Amino acid sequence: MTALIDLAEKALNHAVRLGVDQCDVFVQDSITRVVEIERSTIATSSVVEDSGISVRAYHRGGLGFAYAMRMDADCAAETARRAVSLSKKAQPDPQFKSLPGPSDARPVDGVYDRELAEVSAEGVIRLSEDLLNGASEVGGSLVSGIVVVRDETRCLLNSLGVEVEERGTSSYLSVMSIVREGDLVGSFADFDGGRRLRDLRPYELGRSVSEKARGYLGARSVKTSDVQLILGYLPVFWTVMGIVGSCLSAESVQRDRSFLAGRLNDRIASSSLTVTDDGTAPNGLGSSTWDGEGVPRRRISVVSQGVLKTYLHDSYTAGKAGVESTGHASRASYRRGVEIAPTNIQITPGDRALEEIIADTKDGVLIESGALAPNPVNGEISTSIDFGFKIEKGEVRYPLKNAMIGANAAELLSSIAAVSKDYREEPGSIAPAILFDRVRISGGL
Amino acid sequence: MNLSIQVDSARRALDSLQASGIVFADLRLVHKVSTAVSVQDGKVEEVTSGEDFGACARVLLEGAWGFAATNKSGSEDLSRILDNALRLARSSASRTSYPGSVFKLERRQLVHRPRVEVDPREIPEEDKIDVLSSIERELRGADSRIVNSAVRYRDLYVNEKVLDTYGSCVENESIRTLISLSAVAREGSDRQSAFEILGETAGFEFVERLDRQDIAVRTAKRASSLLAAKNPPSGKFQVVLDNAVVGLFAHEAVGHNAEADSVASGESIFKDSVGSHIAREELSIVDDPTVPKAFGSYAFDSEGVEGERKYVIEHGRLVGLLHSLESSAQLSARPTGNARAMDHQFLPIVRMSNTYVEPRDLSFEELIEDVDEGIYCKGGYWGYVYVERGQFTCNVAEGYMIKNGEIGDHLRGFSIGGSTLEVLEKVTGVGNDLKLKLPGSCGKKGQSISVDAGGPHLRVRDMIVGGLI
Repeated sequence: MTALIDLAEKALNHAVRLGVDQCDVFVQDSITRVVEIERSTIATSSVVEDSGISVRAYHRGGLGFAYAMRMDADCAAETARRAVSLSKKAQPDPQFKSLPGPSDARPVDGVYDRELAEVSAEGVIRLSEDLLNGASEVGGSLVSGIVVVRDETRCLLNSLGVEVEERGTSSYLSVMSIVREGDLVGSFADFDGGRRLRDLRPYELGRSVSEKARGYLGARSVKTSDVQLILGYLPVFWTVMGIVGSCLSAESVQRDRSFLAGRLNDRIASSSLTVTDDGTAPNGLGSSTWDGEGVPRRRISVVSQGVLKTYLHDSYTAGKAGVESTGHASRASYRRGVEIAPTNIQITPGDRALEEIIADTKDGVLIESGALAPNPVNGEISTSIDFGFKIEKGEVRYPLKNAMIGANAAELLSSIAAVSKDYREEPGSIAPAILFDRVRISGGL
Repeated sequence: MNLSIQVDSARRALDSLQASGIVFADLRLVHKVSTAVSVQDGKVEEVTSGEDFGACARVLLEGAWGFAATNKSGSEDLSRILDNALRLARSSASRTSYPGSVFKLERRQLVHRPRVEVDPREIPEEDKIDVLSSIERELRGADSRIVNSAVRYRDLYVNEKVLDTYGSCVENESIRTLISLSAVAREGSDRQSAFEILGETAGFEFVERLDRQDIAVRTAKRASSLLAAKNPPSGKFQVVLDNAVVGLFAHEAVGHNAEADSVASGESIFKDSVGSHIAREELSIVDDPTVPKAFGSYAFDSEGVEGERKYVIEHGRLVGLLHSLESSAQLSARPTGNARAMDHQFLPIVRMSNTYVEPRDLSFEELIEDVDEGIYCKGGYWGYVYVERGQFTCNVAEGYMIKNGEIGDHLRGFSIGGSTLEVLEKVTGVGNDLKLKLPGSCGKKGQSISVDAGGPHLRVRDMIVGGLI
């Protein structure tokens, strides 16, 4: 038995002794190395150790949650005691059916990488220097960013016999580059991530972000008008991820606060849109063997040729809906409870080259970064175009400033005119570009 | 754990570090206790209790910063994280081409304890649940079209001790209490939502004094009234911003650009503008952590520097920036007590507190009477900015058309945006009704910090409105 399971068991036994219907205990132990980059140089090198325990206790369906940032037996028992006591103060909830029982799952490949786990502080500095070297290929860029390498073990036990432990590594590189020429300013931000050291491309990230930043020099205002819209890879990824996470979570749907509530098996998008969520993708950033409640992760079809196939469930929403959990219980940290969240989003590429789509666009806008985040309740979108270009007669002409977009997500999803065959892949996720027929752009002219 | 033992160990660990040739080091010990209650759709959903304790060390050596944090609480752990921070600083010392520095302060021995009437830690969870349940009942019952109603409560006690190699020990305690309400109204397949958030640096008395029925009914009615509202128009408009949206504008468009770390790094649009006129003469913007009870208030920042009221823009001139010990050393300025850290896992960075536009003399009626065609922008909860361009976006919860000086059609939510330096020149009127209306949190570099913002009503021409029609 590992030390984490031993500690979790102490908390679990204590909660059961105190008289609770069901409970689970989550223990997390991590070490995170971080280098911050400012003014195109290494600014700070950090190491953060974090470990803690949380207990969810159910009394007649009412939930009590307690956590503590320590890892000793006394603290485990005290956390269990607080959770049990709070569960008796919460109201009984007949809609709570049960926590999941134990189940078998094949371990997902590539969640843990020894090479990445063994990266030292010096190694993180070297990744940062590679990033800076890539950025310096493009003259005159001012670079800031962060390089994070994390090694984490999670363990979950519940009163029905679930006992799982998984160690995972991950790395995240986020960078912003600013290029100035006289009064002109161009900037761009991008990221790279992976669970394995070999999946990281810091040099290429640094170079591409600075090249892109240069492309945003000389931004111009446009007139308010209706245009075609091409959402690039990153905006497609963030937008679809956002819609799946906030509008297709069964929690939002059951609460009637999603514009996609009550639409199961309906056509919600053009037939060219197919979205899969795969929590088992090898080396995937969002992959793991089990979800935050011990349910095996799986690959599910979310939208198939425009038809909504499923909502995302944890055990509570699944019990309420009378279906099986889809394995989407997510725990960001032991300091928070369980939330429903997507894992790795894969949007099926189409059959037209992005270049060809641009060439066929007479009057349009190409957005390269940022999400069109709808209000989940009604799908209303109103946001700035922070990294966009004007397209005229099939050519990308100039970057935009002071431009905004207004749309409705339901209408937008139904007006997909093309999905590109080119795509961007991050470990586990796939995002092509998408062309929409017509959107309203507000401009400063 | 015994915190006074921790302080003694921290002092000894820092003293023993002095011989290693460092420029500066500090240790922070952070203890947090929080309770949260959530009531949704007629049911107490979750009652949460959390306790955080941790420590972090920061070392500046030969121009490089090292930082280490742990939540292991043994006294040997403090020496260990200081050693780790020292090692990290040493390993990057030769690799940084822009050396870090800190403002030299005197030794400070200071303690701040909050004066609250009712310490929320002493209120039984049952009482908190009762209050929340009654608010949620009002919210749900205020209109038959409400399909989802949620009320959330959180109180947070924080004790932060900062010890540094100047010999200082500053202890800062705070208590914050926050309530949020959200309602969704539906008619057919049309849904609209409303959100309200109220918070103070205060105890449970803040909740007890709220006119809870009024707040609940107003929030529910706002959601249901939006069902009949029109889609917002798109384009450039003269706008009148209410106290919340003007707060978002002051915070996003101006405040973030005035954070001196971005100025020192050359990123902010204000990098060459300190001392220059950048706005209309009638505009003054303040950042002030000393506003009594405001959600963004504090006595000392996470470097143990006293928070102070200061002008960012005074009569149109950019007069001041928000500083940490590092940014003030880099820009030859005085620290302003704006270095804040979310918890022990993060470095203090330059942050705002309560940021607001100062009131002038126009009434709301006077602000709208000269508007031939414009939009009254009301309520808003999020925004962001790209400081290198000063391009900002502010969410607006609802609007009203203004036609010939009169309030007209009700509009659904939208966003407004523009370029800070252009918009500051287009302020055409400043109201007389200052209110802070945005208790909540601001995110920067992964850290979420309690802030507030506001101002009087403000009239601005040529604002871009991201509408649908």
